[in-house]
Amino acid sequence: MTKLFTSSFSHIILFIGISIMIVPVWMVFASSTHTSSFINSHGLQFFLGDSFHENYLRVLLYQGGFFKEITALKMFFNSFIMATGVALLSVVTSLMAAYALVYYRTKYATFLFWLIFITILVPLELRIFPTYSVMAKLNLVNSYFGLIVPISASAIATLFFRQFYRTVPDELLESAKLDGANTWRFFIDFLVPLSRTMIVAMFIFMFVFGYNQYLWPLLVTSSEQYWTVVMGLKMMSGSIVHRFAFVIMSMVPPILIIIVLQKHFIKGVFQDK
Amino acid sequence: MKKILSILTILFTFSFTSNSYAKTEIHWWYGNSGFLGDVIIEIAKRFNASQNDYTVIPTGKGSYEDNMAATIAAFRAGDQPHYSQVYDAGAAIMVAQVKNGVVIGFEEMAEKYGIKVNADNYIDGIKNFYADSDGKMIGVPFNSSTCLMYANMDILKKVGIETVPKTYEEFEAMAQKIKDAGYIPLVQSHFPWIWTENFFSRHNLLMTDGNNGYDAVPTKTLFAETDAFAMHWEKVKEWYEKGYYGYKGRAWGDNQAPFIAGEAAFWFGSAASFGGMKGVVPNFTVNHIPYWDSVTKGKEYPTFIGGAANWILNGHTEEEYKGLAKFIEFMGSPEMDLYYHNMTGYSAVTKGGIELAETINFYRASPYHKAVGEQLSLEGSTIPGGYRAGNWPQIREVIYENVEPMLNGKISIEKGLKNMDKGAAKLLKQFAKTL
Amino acid sequence: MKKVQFKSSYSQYFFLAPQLGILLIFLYWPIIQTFKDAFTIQDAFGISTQFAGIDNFLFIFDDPAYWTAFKFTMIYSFVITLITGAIGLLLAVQANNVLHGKSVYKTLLIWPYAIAPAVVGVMANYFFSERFGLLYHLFNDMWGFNWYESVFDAYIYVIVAGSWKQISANFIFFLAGLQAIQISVIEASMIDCKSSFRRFWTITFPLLMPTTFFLIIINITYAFFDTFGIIDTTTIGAPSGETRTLVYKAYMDGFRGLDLGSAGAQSIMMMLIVLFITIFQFRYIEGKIHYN
Repeated sequence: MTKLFTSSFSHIILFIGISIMIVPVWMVFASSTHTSSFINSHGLQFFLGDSFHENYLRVLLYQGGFFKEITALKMFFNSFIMATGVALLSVVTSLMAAYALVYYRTKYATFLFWLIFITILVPLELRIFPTYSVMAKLNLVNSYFGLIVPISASAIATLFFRQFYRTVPDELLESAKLDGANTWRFFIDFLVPLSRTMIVAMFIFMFVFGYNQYLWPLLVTSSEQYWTVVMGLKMMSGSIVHRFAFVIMSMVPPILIIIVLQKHFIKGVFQDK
Repeated sequence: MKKILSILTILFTFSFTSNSYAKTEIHWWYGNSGFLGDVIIEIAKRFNASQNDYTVIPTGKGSYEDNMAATIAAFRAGDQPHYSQVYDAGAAIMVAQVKNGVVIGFEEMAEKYGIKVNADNYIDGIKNFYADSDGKMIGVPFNSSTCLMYANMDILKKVGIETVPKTYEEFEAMAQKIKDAGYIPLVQSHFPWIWTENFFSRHNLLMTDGNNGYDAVPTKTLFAETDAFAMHWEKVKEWYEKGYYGYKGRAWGDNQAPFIAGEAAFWFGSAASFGGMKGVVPNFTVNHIPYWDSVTKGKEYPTFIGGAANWILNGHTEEEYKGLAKFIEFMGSPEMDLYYHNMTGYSAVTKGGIELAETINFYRASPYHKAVGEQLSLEGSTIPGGYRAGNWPQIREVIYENVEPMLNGKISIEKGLKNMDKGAAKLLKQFAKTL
Repeated sequence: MKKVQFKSSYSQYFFLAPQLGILLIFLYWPIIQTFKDAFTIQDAFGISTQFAGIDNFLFIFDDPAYWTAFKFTMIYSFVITLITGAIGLLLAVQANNVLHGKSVYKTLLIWPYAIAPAVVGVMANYFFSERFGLLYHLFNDMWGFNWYESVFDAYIYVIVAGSWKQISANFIFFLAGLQAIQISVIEASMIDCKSSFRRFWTITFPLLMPTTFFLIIINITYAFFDTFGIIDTTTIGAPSGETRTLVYKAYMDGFRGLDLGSAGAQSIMMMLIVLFITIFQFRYIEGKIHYN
């Protein structure tokens, strides 16, 4: 009986949580299917309107900018490349760096840790002008490299993996050593598979982080072919309902990533047993 | 074999020659977005289509502030564009950069490259805003707006008002009637620009010492010292309490929304707002902004221009500057001036443009456009045509910070104005150090 | 510290090199410039720079707006960390417990995290606007809510907007942490302790401490820095600068005001503050974590 109660309790809590998360987004979506004048006079809507095709089509076919290169498709492509690049680069470098910090005995351990860790305290906003100068000096402005790398300079993932590694039982390394594994083998064959769920979580985290950047892409790109989705959100011309439509569309790639990786996430959990 | 060789040779030399005929590129960074950005792109396209030697490539940088930041970042990195659109509040910084070799003054460029559009062609009021203390033009006037009063004629008709008020006294007299009919009498979109900077200009009052910064670097603002300004603020607060004036927060759009929705009778906005309202608001007129008769004793003074100018940046080649000069000439022609004026609602900036407009009886077909040119060309003011004060964007912030407490009565008007002066003085002092 | 480790060797540097390399070139090199800026007074274009000692620091300490931003940032980070952590944990525990529909709940609760802060702010704007904001009218009817005038109401506005999507982030990590706790540990604890409530607080939560610790840092950094987009699209600091965070103020001074000296000084102050908070955390909280 108590089991039924506690499980209903869980479902209720979760349902409330979901409503809080979903309802606002639903209303933006519903509003994007109406006309501008309707929204301007009646506010956000809960029920769907008739202008879905018209509004979304217009956003998709939008061709802006001098070279007509600013299109929805291009923007999504650029944002996707940037976000994936940031996620991959930061996850890989952090996995390795955290490994070095936790699994090696060295007197420099604390120093190295703080060297990496304090960079969390300096987000891009605080160093944006000088970072741009550096990129210009290295001739990396207006490129995917320039979009991706400075944002990947983040120690968050390192901190995260470090925390996780410290919870891994020592027995794992002991038995690996007995099997004759060296540092590289242990890393690849034992530690990384064990970290699967954490890697996925971090990948999602950094992907979203890269995807949502506004200021940096604005500064580092001047060519229209590199516009990102978030830049478009702020700068595209269009009425309110078109903005809503674009907002909804802009959420799709990160959400897709999450859903796709989710399956992997679950699989990983069950396989480990 | 010989045939192949000769074809290859032709192709080879062709690839080289096509390079030497490659057009010189000129980069223009701008801060307008939406419809205004589209017009900018159109201007560049027309120029490129009109000749074969140069290509102007416009790049939108989001907003005035973002463009200014981007231009500066680019300059610090050695990567700056040739031409950049910087707004009114940034004028002081840009003019000061001539002596640093960052900015090339317009008149200097005109002399060097023989641009046919010379300084005299530009309207006085507009010219002086972007000129240095000697009157030499530095920035090239572009989108010049001013604050204007938009009136919803349907509401006025309903309430039985026939003419739009010219003075604040007239407005006050009719406000109650409008309110009783269930409408908001007045909304406005920018406290610093409309009700501070252009309050002083509209009433021919100095805003800072040093003759608004044209004679000497300003050290303080004159907000608390100017009785007329204090009086105006007391009135604004009174109207806020009585419901004659509706304050909708800081954002421009939030304050404009009631007017667009047909709930407010009068809205103070920009000449440039006209483009977005055509067809959306049914029956509106564009008028001069009111003034206090008691202060000006019947005279009407011109307001400052807002908007932005284009600035020429140093660090490029002779050939590129030649191209830029041609482009500036193109944009300054009466036809292009009028084109821009017509499309956007911004004022025509050249005398040629205005003459052309009158010649083709432009204003008969587009009465909306008349007000901005008229209000900017008013004569008789004894103050300079603008203000030259650094750190002005931050000073605007200080103004904003005090607006809400003053409206709500949390601090007295006197205290609020003194706070603004204090904050401004500190910022002006900071800026003076960098000169 | 781990008891079993590898001896220090060259391979260690192989693992460290990529990240360190990126950080040195793209983070440390620019930061040095920021440090330099903090001690100079310069014009917007950086042409005439003069050494100014600690003048920039004195300037900001003398500015009441700076202390208002300081106070707000402290309160804001504390509240957001607490709210998003607690709700995120609650949801994660429930999602971990249910037998049916686990993945549905997970998917639906994760995705708000994907939305950009600026977008969240714009959406919040529509719910809180005076014109037709549902929440505005609801709260207004309840107690005369008006965020233009009342500092308290403005706080509520930005806290709601700021917490909304961050709850999702906390949920993701708590769930990952919960799922990484080995089944064997849970099964063993079920033998020892019947009450699921007690089980949670004595066994599970301590094992979640590394994740909690990580999330506290993430939440504080979020509230300090990433909420810029939210503030910029909601209150813009109103009323009269009371809802401005330190980073917002620094950004305004650096980007709009183009005073890189002041912005640099503010950046250094922010770094010191977060550093202080983090050191405090490491000393007093991490010491209590059991890693095995």
